[in-house]
Amino acid sequence: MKMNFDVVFQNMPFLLAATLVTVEITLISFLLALCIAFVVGTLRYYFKSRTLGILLMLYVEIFRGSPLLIQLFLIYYGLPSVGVVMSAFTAGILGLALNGGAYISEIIRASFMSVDKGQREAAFSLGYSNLKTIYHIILPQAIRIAIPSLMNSFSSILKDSSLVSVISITELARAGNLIYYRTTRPFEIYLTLGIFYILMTVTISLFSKYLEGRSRKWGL
Amino acid sequence: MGTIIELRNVHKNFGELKVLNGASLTIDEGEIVAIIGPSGSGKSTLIRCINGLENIQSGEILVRNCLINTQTLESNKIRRKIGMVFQNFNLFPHYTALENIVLPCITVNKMNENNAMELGMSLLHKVRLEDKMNSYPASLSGGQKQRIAIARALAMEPDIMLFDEPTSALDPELAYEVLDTMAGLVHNGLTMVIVTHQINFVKTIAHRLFFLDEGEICVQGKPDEILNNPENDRLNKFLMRLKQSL
Repeated sequence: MKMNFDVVFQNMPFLLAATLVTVEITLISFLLALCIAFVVGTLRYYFKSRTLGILLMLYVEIFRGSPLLIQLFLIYYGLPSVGVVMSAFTAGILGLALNGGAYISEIIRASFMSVDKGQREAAFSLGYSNLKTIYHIILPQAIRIAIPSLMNSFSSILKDSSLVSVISITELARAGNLIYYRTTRPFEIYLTLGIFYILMTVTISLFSKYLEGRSRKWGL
Repeated sequence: MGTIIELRNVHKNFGELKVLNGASLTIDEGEIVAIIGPSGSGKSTLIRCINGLENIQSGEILVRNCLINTQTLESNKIRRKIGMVFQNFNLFPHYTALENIVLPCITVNKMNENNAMELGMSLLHKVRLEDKMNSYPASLSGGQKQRIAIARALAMEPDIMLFDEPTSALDPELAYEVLDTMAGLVHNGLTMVIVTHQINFVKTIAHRLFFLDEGEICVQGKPDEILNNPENDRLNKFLMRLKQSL
């Protein structure tokens, strides 16, 4: 078989536009996931309330324990039957954010736990309130520990975003499918998609290295 | 001078393990007291109870006649006037030496930045570490870390300073510089409670000595009298062991 990348180049504007959609979905979902994770992780770590704890644990276990694909179907196709209707774009982002948030909240919780408990005691004895201790003392140290894992989750969300193609959002993966249906050149097209994703994840890895380097000044 | 710290029949266990077993003591304002005792005798737990780092099962801990083992506005206010120095320093690793002293003043006491910086520099001068102001804790020696930790606690202008084995994690020569710094803090009004194994230091600085064993105060009195001729068997045994280890 002769390779012919013309199909790719002819459709480059379409692919680039779809890449932009992927980037957009990924960024919004990741930021939302971070917010969810921060709240859930902090609550689970700091405030040992029984009922709240069980509810949050259920959230984490449900979203980590079931496939993202099912979650997306449930949100986009299932919720309208109980009266909750949203656009595909919103549903896709909501699914990715809730799923990512469950994973990332565990990262946040674990990195909180890895900060020496002497730090809390020192802050307590200096008169820091609980919230001030989290914000000024625990969080800066926890985030530094969490950076590599957080960036890893960022990459995961980027790759998982290809799944929202099934609820008819034309991001990179669906754009590839559409071109394939028209041209029947799967090899060239999917190879190109793969390279596009790798370029983006490598960018994230480089960003992660940069962030790690910046926090090295503490000399730990 | 009146009583500033009072423990009444304090019991504390970690699960099955009884750590404090009816400990009672009173400390006067401006007094410097040392607490000694074998490891596991509850010294650290006792001193940690004084500023509410440990919950107790029964008994009362009063600082300035206020129950410290309840979280009330008043007890929190009083607790802020209790400085604590830890065995493992517990400096904030993401702050420089100066920031470790200055930022708590700004964050907790809402001090304005200029005043806090001025206070921070004067305290760095006091512990003779001005040249390390911009160093992060990771690049300081143990002795330097502990001196910064002392300065950080002093910045809150405490009435009481608690020292929980401040030199136990240090080599003897580094321990010396910390003890020297502590000796420099002695002034009218500051109450110091020191948990330590440094018997010689205790003799020179402490007004009163408590010997803790199995979670209760066995012996108390003037350091010279107690240490030079210990009448209590358990204290005697402890001192013998301490001498052998030197």
